[in-house]
Amino acid sequence: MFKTDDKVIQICLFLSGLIFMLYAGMMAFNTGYFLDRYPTFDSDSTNSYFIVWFGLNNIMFLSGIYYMGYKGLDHGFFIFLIPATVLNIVWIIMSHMATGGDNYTGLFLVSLNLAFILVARVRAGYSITWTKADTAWGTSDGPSKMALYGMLVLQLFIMIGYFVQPNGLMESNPNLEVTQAGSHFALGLFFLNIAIVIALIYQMRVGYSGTLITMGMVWYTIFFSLVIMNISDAQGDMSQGDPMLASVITIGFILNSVAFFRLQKSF
Amino acid sequence: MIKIEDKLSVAILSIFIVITLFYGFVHIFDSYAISFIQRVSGDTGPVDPGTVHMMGNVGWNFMFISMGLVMTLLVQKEHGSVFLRFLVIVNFITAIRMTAFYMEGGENGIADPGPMVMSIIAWLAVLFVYRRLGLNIGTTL
Repeated sequence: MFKTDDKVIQICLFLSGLIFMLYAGMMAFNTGYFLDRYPTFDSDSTNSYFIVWFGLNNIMFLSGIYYMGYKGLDHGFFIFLIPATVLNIVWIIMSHMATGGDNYTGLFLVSLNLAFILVARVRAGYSITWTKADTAWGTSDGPSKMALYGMLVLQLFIMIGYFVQPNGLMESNPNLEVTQAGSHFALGLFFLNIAIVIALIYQMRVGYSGTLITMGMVWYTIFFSLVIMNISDAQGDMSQGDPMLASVITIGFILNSVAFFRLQKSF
Repeated sequence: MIKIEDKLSVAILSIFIVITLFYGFVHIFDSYAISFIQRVSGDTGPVDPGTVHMMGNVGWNFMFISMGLVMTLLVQKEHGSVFLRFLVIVNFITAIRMTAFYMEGGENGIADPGPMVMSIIAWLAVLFVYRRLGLNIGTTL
């Protein structure tokens, strides 16, 4: 497993995967139970919307561990996941500071997860420096390069969008309300956005990572199917959704698909 | 990464993954499941919670099929032949059932032609891939 004989790495990543699986299952598919565990969370549509979103993000993290389980360890995975997890811990602490704190299970488990990932990263022995590839993104395939540049531009667009309109996700969606908890969830997604930008810049310098592109493919496939679901449910009434978000997801899905299908032979 | 070499088959199976995920989520999330059952039945009245619960189980079966399709893409076509054969049969039976339900219409049937059309398309698509990859038993293409 993970194409290494180091049992510590295997155990750490296995346990990390279990934590991701736990949160993916609980947040995406048993949202009511999750909300019950946090008395300061209102059981409103805004909170449910974001909790499902965060749960689906955990499926993406888990897919990276599965991928490496079969294909072997990948530096890119750690480049993405360590900032993402550190920022997640900062986000949870900020949440506790805002609400007074009522359940520390999440903080404990995410911190434990960070420890597992760091141990695996250190034992894998990756260099701190990012060795530059011969060409940007490590490929000479034009469409793939354009798709990867497009994904970087898209993420920067999302990042700038957060600074311009921090509550844009809620203000643009008639089914959601701008609440304190909702704003905090939007900040959490912004933190994830930062980790994705770091991962893309890493790939631009060092070369594309099969793990990261596959993780992106998993995320975009799930969210694109949700976009289709919402369009289908709207029955032609497009005023009840967020066309900007749906467009960003659709464009991202197309770009990631181009990169994935053109580069997958060398993964 | 993808071991199936025929690009058209890969494209059809990839679209199939998105559609099965879509149907999975529609059945799993309660609000969408209620909306879906109201639309296909043509009855906008309240939906029995037991029905919604059972729809969640059906949704997970769709999710499992999408996982199976991903696995099929990642192995040599011969290794995925039994799963594709299973899908051909399952979609064939589903297409017949959905057609019968649509023809029945009314209170016990399905008012919306969507499930019938989708199940027939799914059957034809997976049958096309199955034959195109030369996996059908007893014939040589």
